[in-house]
Amino acid sequence: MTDIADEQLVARAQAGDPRAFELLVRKYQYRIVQLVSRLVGEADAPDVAQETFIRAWRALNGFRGQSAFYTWLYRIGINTAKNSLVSRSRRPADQDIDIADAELYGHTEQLSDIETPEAKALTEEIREKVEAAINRLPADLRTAITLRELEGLSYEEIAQVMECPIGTVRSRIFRAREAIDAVLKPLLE
Amino acid sequence: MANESLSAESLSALLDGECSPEEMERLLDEMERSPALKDAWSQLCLSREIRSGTRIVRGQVSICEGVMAGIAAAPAPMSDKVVPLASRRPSAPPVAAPAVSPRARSAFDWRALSGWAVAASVALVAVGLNLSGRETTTNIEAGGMTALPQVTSPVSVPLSTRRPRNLQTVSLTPEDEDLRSYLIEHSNTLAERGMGGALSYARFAAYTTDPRTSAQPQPAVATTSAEQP
Repeated sequence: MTDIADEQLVARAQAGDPRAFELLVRKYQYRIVQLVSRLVGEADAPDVAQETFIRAWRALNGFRGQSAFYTWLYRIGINTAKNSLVSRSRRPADQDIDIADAELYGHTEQLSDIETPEAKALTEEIREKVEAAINRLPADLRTAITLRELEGLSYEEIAQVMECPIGTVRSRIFRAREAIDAVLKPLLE
Repeated sequence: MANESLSAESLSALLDGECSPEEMERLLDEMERSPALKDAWSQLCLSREIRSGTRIVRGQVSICEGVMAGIAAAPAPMSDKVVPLASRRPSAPPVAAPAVSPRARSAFDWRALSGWAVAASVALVAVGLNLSGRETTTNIEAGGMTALPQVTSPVSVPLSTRRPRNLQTVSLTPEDEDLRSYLIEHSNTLAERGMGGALSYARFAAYTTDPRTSAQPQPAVATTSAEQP
């Protein structure tokens, strides 16, 4: 769904623009931290995630777009985490995450089954609040964000469905996100 | 204020891959000036991650600053685009490099060291070959191999071609300096990627003369000391 955005940013980063890569870092840092914490533990996860992105930057020219950017990043994350464990003479976690998992899932949701009760509770709380926030949205905003994020429609397709200009779709989706963010922010601070 | 809101809306579109290249360029420029816009992008992404099921730890620290500092110290990805040589000339004062992690620095040192080791090996082999070639020639010249049947080679290889011809120091023009800087930089980049850049550097390092001079046609038959009266 977001591959086009990634492609644009990756192309710019490959041309040597670190600003574009920074946006990719900001976008995927949460997933990568979560991913590597499965292998190296929460304490070391930020360092390993950081190393993952630096390695990705160095190897970026080798990325040919044959897989999604995140899939490629995932592989680097797994390898970096494993190298980190080896360098500290520690065995990888019992649950070995295969690189092929990235192709199958492309997302860490299925991988994250090691969770503290607190994290599970937070996740559940967030899910409920987001649902409630979406339900409170005006109908036009709710429809736009649902078609975009749940159905994966492009702005042009949404404009056709909703019979309005693309600019309006864009504005509605943004306003819906703003409303949802307002609910999420206090939960994450 | 309206501008910021418009940019935030553009960020939302960027997240969906619905931004034109021009709009993206404008956003990148604006984000460079506005940390608030960067935070807005992070928030958009975080919110999107949560909605799509990624587990987030409360108060998770952003690793972005550390990554970008590391990147500033790391070599940039090679671009296929040709960068004008003038921009490669170190005319501007060097930018202060951010702190490099000891691990990253040691990795770089090892690569550079291994590159120089290869270069040294190649140079030693080349010198050895050169010396052995001279020795053989000297023996022949001194009549040390008179017992062997006299074979007339159809091709006369002048001795001058066996010796390093261009060891004299010459002053280089700015264009030559550009070429030289480019070749060294290219070689170093290859070495960092483990592609034998040091070998080409060694080859290049032997080439220290003005290319225009060496490109001039050599005499058809070079005379050697043995052939001179």
